[in-house]
Amino acid sequence: MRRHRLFFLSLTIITLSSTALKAQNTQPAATDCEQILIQADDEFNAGRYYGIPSLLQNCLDKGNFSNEQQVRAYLLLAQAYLILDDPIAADDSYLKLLKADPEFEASMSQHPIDIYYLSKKFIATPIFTPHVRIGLNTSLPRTIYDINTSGTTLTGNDVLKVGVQAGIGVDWNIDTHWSLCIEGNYAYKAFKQDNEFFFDLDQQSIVEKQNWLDIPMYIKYADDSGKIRPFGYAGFAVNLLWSARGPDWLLKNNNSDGKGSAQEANGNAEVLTPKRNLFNTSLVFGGGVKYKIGKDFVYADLRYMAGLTNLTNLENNYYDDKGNFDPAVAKYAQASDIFRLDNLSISFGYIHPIYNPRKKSKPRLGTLFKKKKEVGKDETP
Amino acid sequence: MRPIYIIIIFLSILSSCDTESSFPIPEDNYFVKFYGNEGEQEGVDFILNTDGSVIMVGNSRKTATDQQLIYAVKVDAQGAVLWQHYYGTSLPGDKTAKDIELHSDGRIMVVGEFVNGTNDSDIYLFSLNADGVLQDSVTVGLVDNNGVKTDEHANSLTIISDGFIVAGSTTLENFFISTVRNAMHLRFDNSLNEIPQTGTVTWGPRNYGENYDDVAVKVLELTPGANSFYVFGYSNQPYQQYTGDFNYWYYSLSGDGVPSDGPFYAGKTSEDELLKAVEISPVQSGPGYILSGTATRTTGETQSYLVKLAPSTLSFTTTDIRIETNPTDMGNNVSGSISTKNLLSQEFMLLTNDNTVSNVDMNLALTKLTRNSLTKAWQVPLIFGGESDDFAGSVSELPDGRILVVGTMTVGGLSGQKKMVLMKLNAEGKLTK
Repeated sequence: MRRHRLFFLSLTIITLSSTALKAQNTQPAATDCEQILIQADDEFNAGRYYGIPSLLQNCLDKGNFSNEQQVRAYLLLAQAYLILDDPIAADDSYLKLLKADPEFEASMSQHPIDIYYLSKKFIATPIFTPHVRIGLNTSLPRTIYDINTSGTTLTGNDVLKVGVQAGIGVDWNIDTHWSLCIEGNYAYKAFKQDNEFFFDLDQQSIVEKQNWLDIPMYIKYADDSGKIRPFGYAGFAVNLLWSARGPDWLLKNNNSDGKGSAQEANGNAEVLTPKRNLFNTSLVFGGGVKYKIGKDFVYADLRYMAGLTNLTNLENNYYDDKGNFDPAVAKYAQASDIFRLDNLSISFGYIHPIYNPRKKSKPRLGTLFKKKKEVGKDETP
Repeated sequence: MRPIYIIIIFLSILSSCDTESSFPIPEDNYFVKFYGNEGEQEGVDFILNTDGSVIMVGNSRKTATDQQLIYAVKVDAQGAVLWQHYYGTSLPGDKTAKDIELHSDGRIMVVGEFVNGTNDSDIYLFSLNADGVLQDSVTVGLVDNNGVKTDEHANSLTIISDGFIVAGSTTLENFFISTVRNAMHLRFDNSLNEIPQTGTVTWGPRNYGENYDDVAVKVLELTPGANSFYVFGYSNQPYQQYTGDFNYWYYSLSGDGVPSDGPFYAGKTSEDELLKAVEISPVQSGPGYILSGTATRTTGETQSYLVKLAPSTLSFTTTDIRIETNPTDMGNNVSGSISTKNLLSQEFMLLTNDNTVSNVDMNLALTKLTRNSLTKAWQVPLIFGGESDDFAGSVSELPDGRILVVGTMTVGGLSGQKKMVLMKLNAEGKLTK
């Protein structure tokens, strides 16, 4: 027992000693580098520019500057190189500044004018911004043409069901506000339709559950500053409906015996995939907010996808997966409408921008929209 | 082409929206529609109007304890109900519809029967106006020489030049054996007055047959106004090689209803052939008559059975009969209804009951037969039905070649209720455009 106490005491002393030594090693370095940064600032203010790079070199090479200190250091270096008429070194320093803080923006009010103009040569906006998302959705069938098996008019209503979706996406940033975006989302969607007055009193309930691969493509506008940044977007989506089934179908024969009792028809889930079109499209509208955490973001996104295409494969609407007349047509008095499917979803996600500080080049997309100059045309009025 | 234009075209294709105008109205081309109210409704037969509307007739029973009524429903070309009515509420017992025909004067003629008492069913013939309102009706119940009401059943109604003939059966001369029926043909004038056996204008005798089971299925007028008729049916009278099995038979009647030639037989000695429908074969297919029904073998297996009688003026000789193979397997112990219809293509449509798919439940089977040999034009019959019993009613062709089928399907699964069904199919018998 005594031997154990001694062992733990020794271990504690060793641990505390090593922690203290480590603190002694780093704390003075940070303090020294801050002093060096202040000293470099003084040198700059005193007009002694030549010594500033060598003064800062050690802290920069050893990585002893904090992120904020790196920004100050590279800003000082860029200013010094501009004064020393070394534009290449100034560009390099500003580029390193942007690597330390990709969202750094020089302004005329806060920074020297030469730094402001230098900043205009650079951009740090990420070219690509990947993100992941997960959330809930609900779907609403939009009937294009009502196909029902009753010779008389029925009364029907849609019942909202909850689905889930998850996916990944990437934004191709045109500039700090605009980006072209594409996503790949798995979505489980469901909807229910209740019909009444079959044969006077009978009720029909049809549920459909579907698995989709949604590929939205849209243009997005987002705020580029602040902790909380709203965004909005519009575009279209390719929607691949790769499986559909109909569980919990019900045909309730009310007053089946003339004395008020009811007889219900139900059974195994119906296979609906052959009755659906695989390739569909929709319009996409949405918006939300993203919240900055470090260099990354979390976001909430509310999206409406308005279906454009009919989901029902009219060649198979009355047939089962083997191509035979579908017994469910008689069992549940059911044939599918010609319909589109709208979908409302809310998603939560995480954005990790891949910052790429770089010198500006001519905008590539701009060439798409430029009018082609006609060769040989007289340009004089 | 600049990339921007390609992108714009690509986006516009992708973003084109399906609307109602993107599709031909499905119900102009094909549909399945169920009809009826509370209880069970069966589909038996239908007529097709020139505007594409359809009037169907069948039977309806609200609950097990209610009487069965005759049910008629008119629908437009898309299958939507225009009107529906029930008939026979003032008559006793169950009423059963058998046939519907459209008179050239616009009257809708329906023949059926009703149960007047034990072993006493009577004939019920009535006319409707275009709105389905009952205009006129007549019931006929025969009484034998001992004053006993006999059992009459209708099979079909034929509109002739000056009235109507109902074909069926009666036990008027049953020789004290209740299962023995005689063929029956009742004639009515245009005002639904039955032509009596005695008087200035006579028709009769109204029954025909011997001490066996003889049934008339259809009477055809040879040429309008010729006052000469063929009667088609089935009988188990022994004759030559036949030793008591049922066979198709036919005979002719003169203008006063007196048998003038026949009877003659068609069938196999090893099978019971029961006639269900008679169709006039068009000239292009070789003039004559297509007799269709069921053939039940000694093993119990029942199949459809077709016989062609040719030419149009029967010579009542064996050379007039062409017996076809059994084109449709009807399954075991099934005596389903059969309907044949000649098509614009001069081919024939055969609608039967069928239980070969699951061998448990009955379905409707539709087959196209070739114009000359009456063999199968389709490799296999097209089967329609649910998981419970479904029954064939009648089939017809629309002017555009599409096919209409009326029958009965059980809606609601194994414990469901029978509903009248109308199916519009494309020329290939499919529920697609």
